[in-house]
Amino acid sequence: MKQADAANFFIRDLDLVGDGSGSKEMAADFDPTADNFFLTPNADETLVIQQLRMRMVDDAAILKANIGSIPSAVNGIDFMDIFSFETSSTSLFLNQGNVDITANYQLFELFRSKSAHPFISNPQMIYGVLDFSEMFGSPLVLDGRASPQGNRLRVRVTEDLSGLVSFRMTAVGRRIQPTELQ
Amino acid sequence: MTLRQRDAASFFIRDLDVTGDGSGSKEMAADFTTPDIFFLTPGAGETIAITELRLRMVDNTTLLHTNLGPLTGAQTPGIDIFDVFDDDASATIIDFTQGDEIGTNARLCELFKPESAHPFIGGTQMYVGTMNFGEMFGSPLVLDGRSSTPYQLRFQISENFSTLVGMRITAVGRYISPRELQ
Repeated sequence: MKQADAANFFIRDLDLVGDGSGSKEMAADFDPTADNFFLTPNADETLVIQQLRMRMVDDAAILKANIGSIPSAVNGIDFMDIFSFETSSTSLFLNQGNVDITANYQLFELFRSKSAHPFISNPQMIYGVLDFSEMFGSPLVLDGRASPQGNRLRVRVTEDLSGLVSFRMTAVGRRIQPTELQ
Repeated sequence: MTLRQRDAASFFIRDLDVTGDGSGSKEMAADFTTPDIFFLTPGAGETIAITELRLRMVDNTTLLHTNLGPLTGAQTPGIDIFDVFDDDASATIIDFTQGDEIGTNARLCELFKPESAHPFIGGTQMYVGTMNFGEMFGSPLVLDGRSSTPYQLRFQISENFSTLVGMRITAVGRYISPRELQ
């Protein structure tokens, strides 16, 4: 342990660009034009992602069978994956086999829910944590030193979620040195 | 790991306060129309490994996710500094707000993970959340008072929270010896 470790702490919302410079707000209209939210390491950095945190906020009750506040969603979140731009391939679909996430309860298969949300009397906010070590035995490593860009974390939304107040995903973890990679 | 009775002497628990050493006011339920900063600063010669921050917010009425503290609606500037800061270098080491002020209780939840049970209350008038550094970043937050440039934790409120019954942030962890530093 050392004080300097804090400089390697990493926290960033997924965004449309991947480097934190794009829009981070998923509460927008992505139907019919889908869009991708990324987490992309810079070319010279390697990220160890411990957790992905999801927060969905509405001003009405969020129902389990909707996606966001949209009932009868068709495409919803049509994939969450770890995508390599180098090989144009996906190493892991978090939504098993690329099954569309069309209901909020499906989000909780990935994002472990906290059972109570004490700010609210009705569930107008849902909050969940996807902990990579807990699920897969190790954190997610995104190595920007790989050519050309290495892997990205990608979430593709294909639904009109503009009725929500806010919907964001935040990645937390740390930057590591190449010597820490095996 | 060797377990010893005397380890208890190294346990650390302290509310953030306006001085940083535990001697100042710790109560965030006050009027901060003139902004004030709550600190955690290591004493000279002491090194603290912070495992977790715990936030507790109490009101006499329902705390809503779309408010900030007791204030109706999203607030600007809200909580506009939440970071680890190197005071000597005047540099932010890690900005937990990602450059945007925290304007709602829902955003506080992103950082302070809601706890599921609040046995003292029947309603939603109290919120408790934890921010676990190991869980999020892979290691505790080390504040090294032996360093020539010790880091400090900062939390600035720029709103009037005086109608809250109470709001505090408690840091828990332990003092570590120089040989535990790498």
